[in-house]
Amino acid sequence: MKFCKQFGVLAACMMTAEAMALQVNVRNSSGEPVESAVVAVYGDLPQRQMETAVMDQHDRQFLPQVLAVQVGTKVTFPNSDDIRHHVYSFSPAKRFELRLYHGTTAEPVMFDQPGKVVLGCNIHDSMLGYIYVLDTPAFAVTDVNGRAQLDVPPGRYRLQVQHPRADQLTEQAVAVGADEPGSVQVEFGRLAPDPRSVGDKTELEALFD
Amino acid sequence: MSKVSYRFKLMLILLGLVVALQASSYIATRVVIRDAVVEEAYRELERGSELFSQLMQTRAQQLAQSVSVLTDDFGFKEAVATADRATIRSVLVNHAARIQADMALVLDDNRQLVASSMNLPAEQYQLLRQLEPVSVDSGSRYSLVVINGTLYQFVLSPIMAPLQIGTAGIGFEIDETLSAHLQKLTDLEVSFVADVAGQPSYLSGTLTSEARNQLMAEKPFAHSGEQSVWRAGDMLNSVVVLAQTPQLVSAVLQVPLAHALKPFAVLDTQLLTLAFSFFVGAGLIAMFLARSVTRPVRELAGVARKIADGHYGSPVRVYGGDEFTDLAQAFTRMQTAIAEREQEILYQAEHDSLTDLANRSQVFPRLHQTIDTCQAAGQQLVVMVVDIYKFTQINDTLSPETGDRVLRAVGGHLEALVGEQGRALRLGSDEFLLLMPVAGAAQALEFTEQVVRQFDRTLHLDETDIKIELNMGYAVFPEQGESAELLLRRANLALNQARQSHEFVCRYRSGWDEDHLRRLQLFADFKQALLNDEISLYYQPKIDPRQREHVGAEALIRWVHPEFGFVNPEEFIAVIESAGQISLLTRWVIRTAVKQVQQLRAQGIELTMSINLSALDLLEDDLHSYISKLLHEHELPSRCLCLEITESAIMQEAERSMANIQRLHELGLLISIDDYGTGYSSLSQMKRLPVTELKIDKSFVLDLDSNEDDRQIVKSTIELGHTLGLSVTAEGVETEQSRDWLVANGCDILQGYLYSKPVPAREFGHWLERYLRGGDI
Repeated sequence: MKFCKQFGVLAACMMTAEAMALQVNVRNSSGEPVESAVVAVYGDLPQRQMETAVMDQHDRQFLPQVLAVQVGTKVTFPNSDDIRHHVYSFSPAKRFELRLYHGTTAEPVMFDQPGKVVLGCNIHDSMLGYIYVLDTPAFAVTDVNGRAQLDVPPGRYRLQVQHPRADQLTEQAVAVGADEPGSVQVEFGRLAPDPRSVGDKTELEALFD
Repeated sequence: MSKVSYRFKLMLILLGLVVALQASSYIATRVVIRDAVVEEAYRELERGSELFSQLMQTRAQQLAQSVSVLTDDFGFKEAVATADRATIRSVLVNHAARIQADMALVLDDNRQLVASSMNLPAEQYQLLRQLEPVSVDSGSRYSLVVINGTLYQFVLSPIMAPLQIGTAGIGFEIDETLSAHLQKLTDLEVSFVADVAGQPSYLSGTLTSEARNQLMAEKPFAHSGEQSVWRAGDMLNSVVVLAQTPQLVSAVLQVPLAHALKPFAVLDTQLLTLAFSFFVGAGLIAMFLARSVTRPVRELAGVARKIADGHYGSPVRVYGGDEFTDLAQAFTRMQTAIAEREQEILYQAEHDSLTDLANRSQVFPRLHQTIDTCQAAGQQLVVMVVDIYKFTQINDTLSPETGDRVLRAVGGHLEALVGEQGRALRLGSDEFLLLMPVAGAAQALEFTEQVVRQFDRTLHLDETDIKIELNMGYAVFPEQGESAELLLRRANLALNQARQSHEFVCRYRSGWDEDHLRRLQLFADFKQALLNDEISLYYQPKIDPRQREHVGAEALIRWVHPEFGFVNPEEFIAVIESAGQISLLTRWVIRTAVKQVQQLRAQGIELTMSINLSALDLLEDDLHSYISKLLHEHELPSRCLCLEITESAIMQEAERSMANIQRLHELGLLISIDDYGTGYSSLSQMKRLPVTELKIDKSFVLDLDSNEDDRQIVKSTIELGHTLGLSVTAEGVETEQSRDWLVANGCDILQGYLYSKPVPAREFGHWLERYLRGGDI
């Protein structure tokens, strides 16, 4: 298995050599950039070298909040806080539990099924993280400006965009030219509000609304 | 007592005032307090409702916390994440038990039941779908839900892992225990009602089944939202809406007015007790007050009654220094004054003002008293009536003042004579009564002698010395009578005897009283006797021995009493004279005699009728007019009547008698001097009298045959009569010898048994006929 992983990483490096950049701009219906949208491209793509992904926990938050990995990627959960965390997921794509740990003592977790894995900390309810396990080597997560850049060889692809706060995913076909970097504008539907931002009201206050 | 006493009225007024005041103040206080209490009860209920709401909220918070304990449990989340219903159910049962929930369930994202701690059909949970979905945004949601007929406080909470993987619901049954607990905390009746499928239903509560029915009948929902507190019947109600969805669930909070008024009832009782105590107290005070006002009045009224009864010694006990005391003092003074005045009046009533001796009114009381004393002591009692001989002469000849002085002196002496043990009373004018207890007959005599000695000397009056003599009559108790009346009458009889006999002192002798009584009887029977013809006239002829046809008669009165038989005319005429009735009798005699004369004249017989007049008749100034009228009526000449008058009759009030005789004479009547020779006729007077006849008393005639002296007297009298030109009549002629002597000596008229005794009218008529025809006599 170890070998395989390393091979994957190598393949990715190979592909990179002749890849072209695909710029994806994700915006919502009101034209605002959508951050943390997972953009994936499906098609005839070269294998990419498997790397170990990191889902850090810093300042009682998952960092990054949204992590995209290819199927079969191992993800480590280092704890940068000076307190313990108890990371778990009940998502069907990956059920796991890292019982209270400190630093980098936790074993990496293999995500071998595609799907959305919701991460939580059992002792810190406000911690919420997502790992999107994708069955494709080409993917990226939009930045603050709603931009993501994918390096794919020219060709025709299926572009899939999803977001933790959107029920639906968006799919569209894209063509990447050989000469010029592609740029895709994706308009996204309404997003649900960030669950972490509704902590102002206490539970008790909400009780009698 | 039909009259309502002043005291009662006063008390009634006072009590009425108190009752009115008490009642009004009690009612006012009661109304105010009751209103306040009811008002307070409303506020209590409002406060209770608020408290109830808070309690329910607190409980919901506690429940929510309990739910969060469940939903935060990692194992629970893990179990839910497994989506294994059996596992989830077991977890729910376990956790429900842990947090003491009555129901725990998990719903999926579509709010379909995943699992429940209770084994109920799925449709029972349908209501839960109608609840607002919960999310991390909404947090826990609280509601009341009726599941399977049971009311639950339901808290729905999202299961976050870390995103929502479902909804946990925890139900806490609202049961009787909770209701009771809430009742205890709020002091209100707590009822939970729900509108289940449009049908109100009582779910739980503290009410009795009866009260539940009543409450449900009132449709408590109708009030929700309008008015938080209202009153229905005896209950104050408040509705707190607990949930609008999926069903309307309310809590009805109640407080029985009776319960709210319970403290008031105590207060009310106290008020009532207070009012009653006031009433009783006021009653006592009113009674006391009324008593204090009316007691002196009644006291005084009592004294006044006693005064009216003649008791003047009653002390007037009224204290206090107020007007009543003044009145009481006035009463006391009045009592004394009345007593003194009455004493004085009584003294004056009982005593003679002149002599200061007890007066006539005291005769019997003193007599009875003295008799009793003597009887008790075994003594005798001299009852003596005294009068002053010829007292009128003293008055007339000296002066009434002297008379008074004499009476005073006599009274004083008599009083001194009887001393301490006896009594002296003044009976009237110059009469006194002496009562003297003595040991025996000898001492009685001694006493009378003492009296005689006392007055056998000159009385030294202020200016004059007077010698007086007393008439005294007495009777002795018990020998001559035991009763006061008898003794007094007998003493009076004795006095009369003393007066008449000039003995001065006379002791009653037995028989006098009987005579006296007989006289009284005669007097009483006199008038009736006239009417009954018991009294009639008898006639005795007066004969002229020389001339047969010259005949006269003397009318003599006769009384045949039904009891006493023949009554001596002298006796009853004396009685009638003393009673002042003689003129009545005289006039009857004259009238009867006149009728007889007329009757005889009708038969052809003319005669002169002699009628006796008493001394008192001569004092009647109208006798002549009476006789004149009578003669006129009977058409008779005045010559047919001859009035016979005794010497002594003329001597009394001689002038007046003489004048009247003169009048009778002028009328033409014949006047005759009767019983001549027995009195002290003065010849000078005789001479002045218009007399036609002299009638020699029969005492000289009866013994004429044997007595030489009588013959001398009669002879000289006849001569004297003839000398004066008078006709001389002799009465009492009983023998022929006497008749012959009288005729021989010139006597004009003869009268006596020799001719005829006095006979009744009819018989006299026959006798006359016989005599005039020349028959024998």
